[in-house]
Amino acid sequence: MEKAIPHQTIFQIRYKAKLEFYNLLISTAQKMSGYPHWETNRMRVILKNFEEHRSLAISHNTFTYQQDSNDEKMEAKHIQQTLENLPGELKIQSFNRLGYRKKYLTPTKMSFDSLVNILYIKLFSQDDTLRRALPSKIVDLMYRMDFRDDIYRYHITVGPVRKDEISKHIAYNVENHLNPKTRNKEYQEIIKKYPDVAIFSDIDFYQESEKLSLKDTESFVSLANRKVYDIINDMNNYLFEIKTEA
Amino acid sequence: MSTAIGTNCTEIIPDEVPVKKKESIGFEERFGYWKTNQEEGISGEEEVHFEGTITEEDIDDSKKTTGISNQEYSIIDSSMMPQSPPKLNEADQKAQLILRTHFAKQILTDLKKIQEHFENISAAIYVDSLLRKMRAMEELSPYDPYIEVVAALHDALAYKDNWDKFDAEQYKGAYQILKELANRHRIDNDIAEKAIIKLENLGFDTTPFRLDIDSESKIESED
Repeated sequence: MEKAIPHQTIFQIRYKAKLEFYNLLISTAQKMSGYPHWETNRMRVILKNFEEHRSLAISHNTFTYQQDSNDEKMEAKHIQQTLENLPGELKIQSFNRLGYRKKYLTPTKMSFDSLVNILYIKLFSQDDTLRRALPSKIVDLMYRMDFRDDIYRYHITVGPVRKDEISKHIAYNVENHLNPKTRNKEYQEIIKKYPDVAIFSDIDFYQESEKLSLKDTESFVSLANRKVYDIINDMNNYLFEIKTEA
Repeated sequence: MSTAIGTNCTEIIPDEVPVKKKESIGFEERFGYWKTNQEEGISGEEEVHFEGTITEEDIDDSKKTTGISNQEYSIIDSSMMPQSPPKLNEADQKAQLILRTHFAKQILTDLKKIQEHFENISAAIYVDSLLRKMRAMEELSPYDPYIEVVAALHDALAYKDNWDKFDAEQYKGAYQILKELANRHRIDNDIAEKAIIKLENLGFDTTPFRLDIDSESKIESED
């Protein structure tokens, strides 16, 4: 069975901007460990770790943890660290939006056309009337859906990709996750390792509300991780299923 | 997933379609042409086996994929016959298996429902659903050998609304045959043919659309 491999994670919290933020910005950033490199324009700080391909951007109304890596333990550790430190240091009492977004590639040895055909047949209506209305040969597609599940929302994008278009969809954070001295060469190596054909999946799980508490953020992270994991696995099992049981 | 158009698809070049002289258009005529092409794609050219009255001497080497020289006789306009299957590598065979599973699950679900609702008017709903799914599979996954068995059952059920002449046991038998076949990773012509024979043994007439050649010949000679 083809396996979905995480390539990028973005965890972002949005909150209402306050003037006092600017006095706290630099001192808060100094307290975050594990980011040897940094960049600031005094309005925001971006903390960077080139070795582990991750960054933390702190600005007046958001903070964003991002990693271009499939290391899920590292992801959990640094999201936890972010939540433990930033709200308290920045004196943020409530939040407007919590977001957890993950991008996956599911490499396959199938031809691109075969993959398109599978996704077309399995994800789109095959109603006779619709099929008669459309041209006969499908050459490419994208499955894009927004969902709501209780208080949580989802943007889900799934589609077949060829090697040369993967970089556009993954959108590797070259500027913040690769060392400027070696960045071009490193990035070329990363692109070279992308599979020839794959399914690209982008799952954005988020919660919006006027007043979300710190407690909400903690439950959100574990839930988000589980929900995204379940979706990617269940979809993968569905798309590549080869056992008939009826 | 972009606006770019993929061109990886293997060009499908129709083979000459073999049709041998016989009183009805049976299994071998309908389905005999895909076997060797597919096997070439998997493991190189293999010996072609024929059953019935055709001998090795009848086989024109230049047309081994068809088995019989097309010059001999043809009762069907070859442009009306399905195109031969593309050669598949192992990965694309898996793609075929994935689609087979997708359709087979739906077909098997309907066959099960027909058994459950046998002698009930609601059975007709499931039969309608079943026939539609069979046709959808034929259109969307036409080169899978599994479709030959599905098509055979389709013809047996659809011809003159024969579906209500079969009992629950026969539907159960068809369900088992299709399920067993769907779970095979590789299906060749022989396996498909055996499955169709099993359907025939259960009482399904899988070639109901017969063309009586003798009658046709008489009409032509009278003209």
